Amino acid sequence: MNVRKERSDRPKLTSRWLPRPRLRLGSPRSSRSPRSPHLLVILALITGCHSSSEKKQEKLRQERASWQATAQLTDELSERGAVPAVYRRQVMEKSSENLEKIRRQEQQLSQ
Amino acid sequence: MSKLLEIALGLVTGIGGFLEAGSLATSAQAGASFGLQLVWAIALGTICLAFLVEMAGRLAAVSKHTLPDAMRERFGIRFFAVPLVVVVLVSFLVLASEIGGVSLALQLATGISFRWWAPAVALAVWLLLWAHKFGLVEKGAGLLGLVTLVFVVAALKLHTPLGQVAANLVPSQPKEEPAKYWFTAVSIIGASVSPYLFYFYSAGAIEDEWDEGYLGVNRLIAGLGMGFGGIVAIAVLACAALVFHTRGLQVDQYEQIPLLLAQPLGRWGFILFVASLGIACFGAALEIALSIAYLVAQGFGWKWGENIKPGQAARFSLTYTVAALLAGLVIFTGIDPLKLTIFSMALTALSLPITVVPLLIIMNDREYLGDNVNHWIANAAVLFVSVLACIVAVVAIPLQLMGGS
Repeated sequence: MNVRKERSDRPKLTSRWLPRPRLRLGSPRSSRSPRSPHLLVILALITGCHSSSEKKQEKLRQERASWQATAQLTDELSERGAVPAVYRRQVMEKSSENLEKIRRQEQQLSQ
Repeated sequence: MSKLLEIALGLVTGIGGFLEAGSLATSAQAGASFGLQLVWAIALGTICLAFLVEMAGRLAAVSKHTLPDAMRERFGIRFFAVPLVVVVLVSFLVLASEIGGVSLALQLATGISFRWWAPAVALAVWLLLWAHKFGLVEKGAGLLGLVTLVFVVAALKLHTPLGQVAANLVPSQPKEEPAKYWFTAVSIIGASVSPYLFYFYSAGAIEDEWDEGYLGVNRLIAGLGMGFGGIVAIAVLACAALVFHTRGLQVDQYEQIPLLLAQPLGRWGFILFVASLGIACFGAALEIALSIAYLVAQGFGWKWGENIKPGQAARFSLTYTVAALLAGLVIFTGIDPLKLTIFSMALTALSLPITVVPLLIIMNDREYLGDNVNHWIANAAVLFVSVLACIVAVVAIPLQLMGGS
């Protein structure tokens, strides 16, 4: 009996916790549903931060400059005898591989 | 005298064992892309790690429980299954990164692709764990790891502006590429606060039979050892800032990183870089493979211990065997070790609250720690860093994956 009483004393959850009925399309409040602002913020973050074509080009330009600097520094250090030939060869291979990849991506972007 | 020796060895192990694939790669990337701006992330991660390591050691010394033992006992196996699975998965990825780091070091020295080295490295990790005791694994790796101090020498030779380093201990807004900036910051924190470190430390304290008399030793090792270790990581960042950032050179592949020591130190710089990468990653691989085995064995209540013969703790030995060999296979597939490392570190940051919050609850439980429960400062510092790193990771990882800025 006590159990039953406890149960009947519990606050009714349905009104507070069950999902509210959906607003009909065209209803004046539909554009201001509580979820919309969050959705808008997320969309704005995604679209605002996602790389545009210009940003991609700028990123590729930076990557190209980075690999060119890598090759140049490796050459300088190799001439000084600071790095072995086996290492120089690896860096040069990686460098030309990456520069070729960047060139292809730049071509795709410009088309 | 023996306590002094213990402290000295603990400090050496802390310093020598601090740098591994994750902290090396993330610090080098941060310095190359953002100069000295991300020094604060290393400092924050190091402080958090020092607190966590001290807690894990204190728990073991006072309650004679390892961390997984206490977690299973306090929360039950159902709850414990969550951190168990998360830590094992994240640690496995980090183990693969470390095996990748050793393989890369061998590639840099020989020109033979890292893929072919990976199975041999995994086998060497297993063999060492199988044949040797805990002391050799822990202290040996730490002592050899002192070679990483070469980064401090290089940073001094490059005349690192110490004033600017100090100024960047305070976080600042990124000047460009915010997504990459925050992603790198969480990767650094993830690299510093890898859960395997404090799980390994708590198991080590039990293996070394610590009691309450070791609380002072524990505090010194955690504070000074991790603090000096953090200085080595800051030195890597400073070298990258001065050698790479000034030339517009970003770190996209491991092959670029040796240049940061070869430039200031010449041929010896290159040799010591390869040695540092190989030794630091090998030491970390040993610790992580053991840590996974400790976690699983202690979690399921199996017999465990690196000081007993493998046959006497068969399931424990089998766990590190499988972990090491599988991690070797992951690298053998040809996955980019640098990308794997950075991504593992970001995932580690993401998982921090799951691993850290149960520890904090135990560290405030008088049944386990009596009067040695946590001070509120330790609770606040660890909770703040873990939750912050997790929140930033939730935002930065998807943005970085989308290639956003």
